[in-house]
Amino acid sequence: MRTVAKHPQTAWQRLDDTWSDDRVWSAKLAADRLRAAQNQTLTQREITSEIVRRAGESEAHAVALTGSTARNCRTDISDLDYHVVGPRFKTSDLAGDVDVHFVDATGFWVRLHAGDDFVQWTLRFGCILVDDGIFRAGLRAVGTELIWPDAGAKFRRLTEMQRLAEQLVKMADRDAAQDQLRATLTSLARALLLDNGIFPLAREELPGQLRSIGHGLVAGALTVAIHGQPSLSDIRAGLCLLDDADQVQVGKRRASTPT
Amino acid sequence: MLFVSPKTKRQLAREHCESARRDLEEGREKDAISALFYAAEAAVVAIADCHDIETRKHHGRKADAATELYERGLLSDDFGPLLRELNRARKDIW
Repeated sequence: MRTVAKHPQTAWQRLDDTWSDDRVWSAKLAADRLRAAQNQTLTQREITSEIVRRAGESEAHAVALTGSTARNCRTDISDLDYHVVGPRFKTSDLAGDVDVHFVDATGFWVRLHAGDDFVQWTLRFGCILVDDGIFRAGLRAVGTELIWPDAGAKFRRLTEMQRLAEQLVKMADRDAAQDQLRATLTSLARALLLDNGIFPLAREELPGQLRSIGHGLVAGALTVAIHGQPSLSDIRAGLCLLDDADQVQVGKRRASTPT
Repeated sequence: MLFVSPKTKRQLAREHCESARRDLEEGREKDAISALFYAAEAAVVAIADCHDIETRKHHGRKADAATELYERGLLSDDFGPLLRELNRARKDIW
């Protein structure tokens, strides 16, 4: 478990044990359902209803709408993301942009305490649609134990992600290389923000967060990777940022040093 | 300015497929999953482009295109679910 003194707190994130109050919890669930409804199109709401129905049939512990839709900042490349705690069920017959992340109850707790940022992202920003108590307990744990995601894990993955992106550039697959550059820079952005005590928001919001901590170059490259159509040489230049940024090198070194 | 790959999707599909085979033989399973995903996706886009089926840059739309190709009788199997599975798998391994 990782704890930090500078755990960030916003007005609506109750990083204490407020979630133990039943009335506060009920109000949050109602607000989450309303937010989910407002942020989705009619078609997306129908898909969400189907996901919730299938989750109920498989006796899932919890379901949340997560990702950019929950933050109301979808882009052309956004998936419709869900986080399900429970058994895997069929989703491959649903629309192409549906992406369901399954984890069992044990895995949920292991990942939360191991510093997985996706689990915390769902707890902090997702719209909780179904919960038998596991998400509530997870939020209480985040608040009372001050669990903070592990930036080191993200720094450690960067070298491999960069290598794969470079292979795709070498192969001259521009589309795949841009895809991998975007994934790599997104991971880099999250690592840098977590390392600075800032919880990363949705991908579309990362460039603004990066600029606020002085990483304008990475922010610019990420914006192009999300919205633009960079050439292979632009993609190569974007990958070079991973070799140039001082904080990246420090983070990578720290992440690879046994503690 | 619109930049495109200097290679055709068909050519890229073959190269990714070959790369996946090499990765598997040499024990790089993670790389193999990514390569298989890119191979399958490039192959679907190559066929979809021939039939004016929109795929753009969203992975989900490419999976939907694979299903549409099957429904229109242009492919004997529906590779949409496979593309979605490979896309999920390559994300999970990171």
